[in-house]
Amino acid sequence: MSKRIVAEDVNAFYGSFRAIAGVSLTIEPNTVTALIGPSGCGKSTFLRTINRLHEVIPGARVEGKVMLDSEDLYGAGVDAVAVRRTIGMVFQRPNPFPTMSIYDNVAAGLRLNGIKNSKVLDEAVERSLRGANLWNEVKERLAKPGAGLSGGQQQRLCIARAIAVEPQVLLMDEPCSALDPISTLAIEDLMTDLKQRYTIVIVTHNMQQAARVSDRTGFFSLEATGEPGRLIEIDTTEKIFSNPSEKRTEDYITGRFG
Amino acid sequence: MRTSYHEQLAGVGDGLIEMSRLVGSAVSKATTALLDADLDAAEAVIVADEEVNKLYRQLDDEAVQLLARQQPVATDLRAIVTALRMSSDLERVGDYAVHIAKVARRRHPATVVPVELRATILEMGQAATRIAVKAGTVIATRDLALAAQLLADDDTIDDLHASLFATLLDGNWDHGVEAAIDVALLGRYYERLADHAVSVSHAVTYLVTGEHSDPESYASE
Amino acid sequence: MTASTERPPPDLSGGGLGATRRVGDRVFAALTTGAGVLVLALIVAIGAFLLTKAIPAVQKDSTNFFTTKLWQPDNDPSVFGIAALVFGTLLSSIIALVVAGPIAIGIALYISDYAPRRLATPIGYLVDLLAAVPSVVYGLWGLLFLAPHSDKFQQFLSDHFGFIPLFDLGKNGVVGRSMMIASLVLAIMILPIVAAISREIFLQVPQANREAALALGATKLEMIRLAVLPYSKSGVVGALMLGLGRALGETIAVALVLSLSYSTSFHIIDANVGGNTIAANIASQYQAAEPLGQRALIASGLVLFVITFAVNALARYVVTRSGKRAAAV
Repeated sequence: MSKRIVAEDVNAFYGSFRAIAGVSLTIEPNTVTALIGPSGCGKSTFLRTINRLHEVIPGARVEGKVMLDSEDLYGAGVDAVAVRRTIGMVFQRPNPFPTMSIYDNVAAGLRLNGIKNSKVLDEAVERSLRGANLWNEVKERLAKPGAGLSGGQQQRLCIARAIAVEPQVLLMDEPCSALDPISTLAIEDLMTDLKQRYTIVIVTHNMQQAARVSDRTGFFSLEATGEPGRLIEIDTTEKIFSNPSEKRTEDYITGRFG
Repeated sequence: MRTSYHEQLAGVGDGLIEMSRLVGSAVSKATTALLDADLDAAEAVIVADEEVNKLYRQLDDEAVQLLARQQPVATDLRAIVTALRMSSDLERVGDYAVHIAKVARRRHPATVVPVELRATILEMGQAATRIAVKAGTVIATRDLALAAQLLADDDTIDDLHASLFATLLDGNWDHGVEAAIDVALLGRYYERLADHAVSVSHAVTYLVTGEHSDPESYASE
Repeated sequence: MTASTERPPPDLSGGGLGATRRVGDRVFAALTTGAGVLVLALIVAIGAFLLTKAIPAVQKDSTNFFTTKLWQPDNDPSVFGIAALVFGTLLSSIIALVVAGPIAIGIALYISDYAPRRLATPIGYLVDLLAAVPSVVYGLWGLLFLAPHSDKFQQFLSDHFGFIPLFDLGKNGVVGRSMMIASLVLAIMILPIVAAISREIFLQVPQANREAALALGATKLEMIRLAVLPYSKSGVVGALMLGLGRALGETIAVALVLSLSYSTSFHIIDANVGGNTIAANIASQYQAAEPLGQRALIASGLVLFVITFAVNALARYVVTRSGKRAAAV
């Protein structure tokens, strides 16, 4: 069910400012790919081109192709809203809908897709909460507000919300940077489970997390401020962290720059 | 949490135990080949060392990967650092077993060891085998008392080594220069092999205590 | 060894520069306390004034103050009551709220979520500008422009929707300066305050919640229903109530536009029926009133004071609760 992502020469703009240039990469199904790099190098921007969330910002646009299996997400006649229905996203700060209960949060995406049958919703909510390793902690209080949980639990709630609609791909934009170390490890373990069902792309500024969790790692960087960010190198995580091909990659991961 | 990491870490430990098993059996077989002038056994030991070398390279790669990707700390970190050292020591033990087997092969069909020294060499061989196996147990159990015992076994081999030289130098040697060199070298191989096993013992002590203390201080009363 | 470069130990006794600062602090604290006390005193003074003038008047009323529709306090016997006034006040304000509310919320949503960034701020300014127009100008505009020009529209309502009692002209009804026109003028007057507060509330919705909805595959409208509106509910209710508070107390505009009477009818497009509000009544009757009449007007003012105070207090409470809940997230 999860799909391969192929980016071909992706450029993203904020107005006339080119934020990323010429990004091409392949992400295999059922893998975790981490994107690392210094601040402002465009890794989050690239992530948002995958689910066409970048263009929501006024004046922002994308050039290039992003293929999901054989379909170009930026092709003529492709509805961005439909794209976002098939690609889930988890954000840096957990953002459950504050006025909704835990149940309603998880069911939000399903209801958007027109599913009203309460039995179907019940099953989907339980399945998603189990998948996000949150079921046992919240099964007694599904009607309570989502905002009453701890940070790590809220983030897992957002993960449950994202996977409830069974997306092909799961995008995670620095999902653990607002969390404490134990919650972070819990979510990293979760990713290892989730990759059996989804293709996962994670942006992280924590290199050690990329090293622990991903199968492949891509390194983004820019020449100087004002320049667009580029993909410098992408390879298996083992190679990147033991013997990267590019000197810039090695300089970054050893902390000699950035 | 971090199950796959802990599994990988345990895998490195298992690899070391396997290595110690292989080299222990190599030492035993080499000694037999030596004393029985068994060519086949000698060849078998030499060929089997390739297996040991392969395991050595694999363990090193795994340890480096764990360091690069998992940021181990505390006991985990010491486990990986000592694993790198111990795999090297065990590999040398394997190499010494090969040296012993090669001596046997070189002199075949003649026996290398003169009759009056057979007992000594046999004892050295048995002690060496025992010490190699014990090293494996120490790695598996991280038992500091056992690690201390290992040092005592090494003393035994050192004593035997000394008595070997005494025999060579007591003026009654009449088996010729070639035999003398062979015997001296054999004694050396066993003695060096035991020293590497002692290194393993030191490494495990460091792993458990985090200090470079003498294993003997942990000997049971 | 060099000369000692140690600094003298700090002066912790509070003397010297510390003392001046301390005095300044105390003076400032006293001034701000004084300002707070002054405001409180004003409210109490006004309340006391209203009460002391109003109570004797009500005592002299020969009929029930709350149920009588007529307003003839200076007659003998004195007959006056606020029934028609309260009815008209509430009716006109509620109609104004019903008309202005959705439009104001629509404007606020447009500014916060739909307008191109460059347009959003100017449009916000324009809306705020509406609030700066003086009420008397609104009254004149309503009287001289809106009422005459809406005759056709009111007639249309009567012809096609006359079956609804609201738009029933009946046999003697005539279109013109009706309750509906007055309510429409009120609606335009409260539009800016409701729109401005709602706009601030919508802008406060965290962008993260909007993104979460969009990332799930929501269209813009669905995103607003999922992320913006639920979050803003209490705040918008507060805004509406503040608008209602303004409409309740509006004086001149209503006095000018509405053909004043003391009826309590729901026929809002009938100018013969007309209507009245507490504030408009005070404005129109005060010149001609004798002492008892003046006191009666003050009594009606007290009632309006209480109504407006209650509405504002409720609005404050609702807005604060919405703020507290937002802060908890």
